[in-house]
Amino acid sequence: MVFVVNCLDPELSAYLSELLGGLPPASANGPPVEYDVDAEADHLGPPVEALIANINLDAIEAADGNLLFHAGAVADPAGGVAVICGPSGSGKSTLTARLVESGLAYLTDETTCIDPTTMSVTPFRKPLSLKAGSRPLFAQLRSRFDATPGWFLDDDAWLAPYTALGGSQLPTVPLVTNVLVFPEYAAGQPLRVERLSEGEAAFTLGGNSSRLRAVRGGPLPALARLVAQAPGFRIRYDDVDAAADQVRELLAA
Amino acid sequence: MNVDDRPYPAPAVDSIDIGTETLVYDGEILHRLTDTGADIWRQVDGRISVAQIAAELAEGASDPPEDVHRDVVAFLDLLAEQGLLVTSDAGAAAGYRRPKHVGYVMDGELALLVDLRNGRRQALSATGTSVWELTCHYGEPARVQRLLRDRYPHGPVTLEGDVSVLLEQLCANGLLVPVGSDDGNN
Repeated sequence: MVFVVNCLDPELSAYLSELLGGLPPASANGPPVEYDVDAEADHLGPPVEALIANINLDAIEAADGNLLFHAGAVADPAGGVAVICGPSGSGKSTLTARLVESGLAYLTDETTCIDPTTMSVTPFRKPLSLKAGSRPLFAQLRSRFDATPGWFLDDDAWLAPYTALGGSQLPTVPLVTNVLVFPEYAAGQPLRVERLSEGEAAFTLGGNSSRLRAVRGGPLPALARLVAQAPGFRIRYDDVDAAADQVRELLAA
Repeated sequence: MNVDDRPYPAPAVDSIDIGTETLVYDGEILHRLTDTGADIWRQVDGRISVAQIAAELAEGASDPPEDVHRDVVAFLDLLAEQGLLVTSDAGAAAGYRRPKHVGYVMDGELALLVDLRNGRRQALSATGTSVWELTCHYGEPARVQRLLRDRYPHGPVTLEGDVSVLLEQLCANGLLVPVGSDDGNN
């Protein structure tokens, strides 16, 4: 999907360029999808959040036929990918952001796209969406947004460009899933890592998929191929740094 | 479910074994069967009766045979309630289904079917693709004909007949099999 964002306000335009900078420029074979952002709104948060939401939905639709998981993903320099899969509230965006801060390459924080035949991962470097509860964990983001009060510091979520977290460049080699992580945030609980059977991993992935029915060649063979290639682990955690360390270990294994 | 019933997967249902477990997908919901549940599922092919399934499980079980039978029937009833299983008298077919040896690729609205056993391919027209998709989901030719007629109310008078001809052709080519039959790999 190729899209264009039309915005007349120079400051907002510059901000959107940074926010969307992770999505590569491309030439469209036909008319690109156009979005217009109204800079006259009294509060900029809702229009930009709506823009991102629309881009996300259109991108998901354009990726029909692939395996689409409600998951974040990060990559090491060798192209090995950790897919961090779970429903809202599981801590996947927070864990993904921490892993990017620690030096892994950011692929996405919300919808991971995997080709059902080649198993290659397609990056979708949308702005990260972080919930209010995770903000204290990312001091460097807070200082950025303190400089521009009123932009997305609402009660629900931040939208942050991945560049604000650091992280490494995208590997130039094919991106292949090496490990599947199913995080469970549990306040006050000790870190616990549990290896899942392939069947359970496939089932959990399927339960966190959108458009499963549209997967090319059928979803079941694709899920089976993926879990045969990448072991699945459930990580129950209270401390995001401990969880991130664990993910890095699993990715390196 | 009765002891003489020979249950088999509903037409829209696909399944795959992953290790000792089985995932079952009905086009909307993904189900996971483990251990005995997966063992039972692998036997529901329209040829084996409920009594036979229960008897085979009871052989290796520590529970009394009547308890095993009761549990098997309860499990099969549950699968049927969820739309994953249908039952038929021995030999009765309720339409067609896609066998496991047939893959497909979509090129826009057109389907290319491939017999994975021999590489034989068949490209379908847009209407043929609709017939094939509806058949894979609903199984029964009469229902497929009704749905197509609803979709194309001003379609040719031969539409229902054309559907029947196409289904018979796909079946003859091994790209569809009657529901309740094996996959014809014998």
